[in-house]
Amino acid sequence: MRSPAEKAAKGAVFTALALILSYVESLIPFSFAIPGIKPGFANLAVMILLYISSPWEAFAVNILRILLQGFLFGNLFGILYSLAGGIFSFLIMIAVKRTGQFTVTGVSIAGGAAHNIAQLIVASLIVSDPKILSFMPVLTAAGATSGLLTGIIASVVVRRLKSVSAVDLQK
Amino acid sequence: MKIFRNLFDNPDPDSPGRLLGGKDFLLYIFLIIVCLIISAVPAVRGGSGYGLLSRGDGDRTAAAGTLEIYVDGNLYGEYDTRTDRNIRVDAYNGTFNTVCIENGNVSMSSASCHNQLCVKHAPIRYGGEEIICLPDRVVLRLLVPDEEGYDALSR
Repeated sequence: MRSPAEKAAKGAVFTALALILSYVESLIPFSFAIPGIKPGFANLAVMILLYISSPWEAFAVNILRILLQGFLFGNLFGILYSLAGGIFSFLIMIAVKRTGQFTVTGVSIAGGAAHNIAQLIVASLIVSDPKILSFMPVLTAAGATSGLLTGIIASVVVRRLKSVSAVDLQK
Repeated sequence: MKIFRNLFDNPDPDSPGRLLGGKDFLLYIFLIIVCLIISAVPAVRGGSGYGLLSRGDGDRTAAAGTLEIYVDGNLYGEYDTRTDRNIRVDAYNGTFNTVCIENGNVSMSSASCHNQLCVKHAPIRYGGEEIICLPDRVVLRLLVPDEEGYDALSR
């Protein structure tokens, strides 16, 4: 049984990690032809927590990260888009993880694709122009690709963390 | 190079730390193929010209004659692109954009939005092309010549 103090400490560390990752990401200019393509490093922290801890802690860290990042570096609209993407992709990731058919990387691929789909739907609702949805295929492919890359990194980290904490907890 | 060997060939297939299971890769390929198929659909290709395989539809030889400006989903105004002018658009919630029409090319010359993607967007000239400023909720859209003279219902 894990203590509340351990949960709080772990949550705080991972929120800080997610926040700094999304800040680092905002410093790197990714100029592709289409706005909205980015690697989504912040999802790394969420993915790792999802596997070494419980889904609800990962969810809380994700929401906290989005709100903090929005108030620190973004604006209200950024928060709206991020929340839509964050919540929807999280639900998809939980569902995909539950199937037991996929590894960390597969869950991350599904999450990346779902994130971009949700954001695009919100964007088309806000501007009330369904033509924006024609970005869907290219953004879904981009989301799946960035999910693949962050997923591979996450699975390396998860493997290392599991072996470390297994030693720690047995003491 | 252990990482690369583990990428496809891990001795413990059930380990959550396995880098890329066979089904992960199938999921990825599946998503990419679905995206390719959807972007080949004509309705998607005609859209704002950003399907995976496409540019805008419409006549690429003659410049479009009419510019429609939408703010927050509502028609803000229609402008003739044969007359050079600057248009100040009072956009969503106190924001504003300046639209420049010059020799039939339409561009966003300034905007109060934070990311300035619409200002960096290349000028549009042909029917069906659009410049969208998401933060200010502004859509600039050039009418396809066939559509001119018809209202939204008859399209």
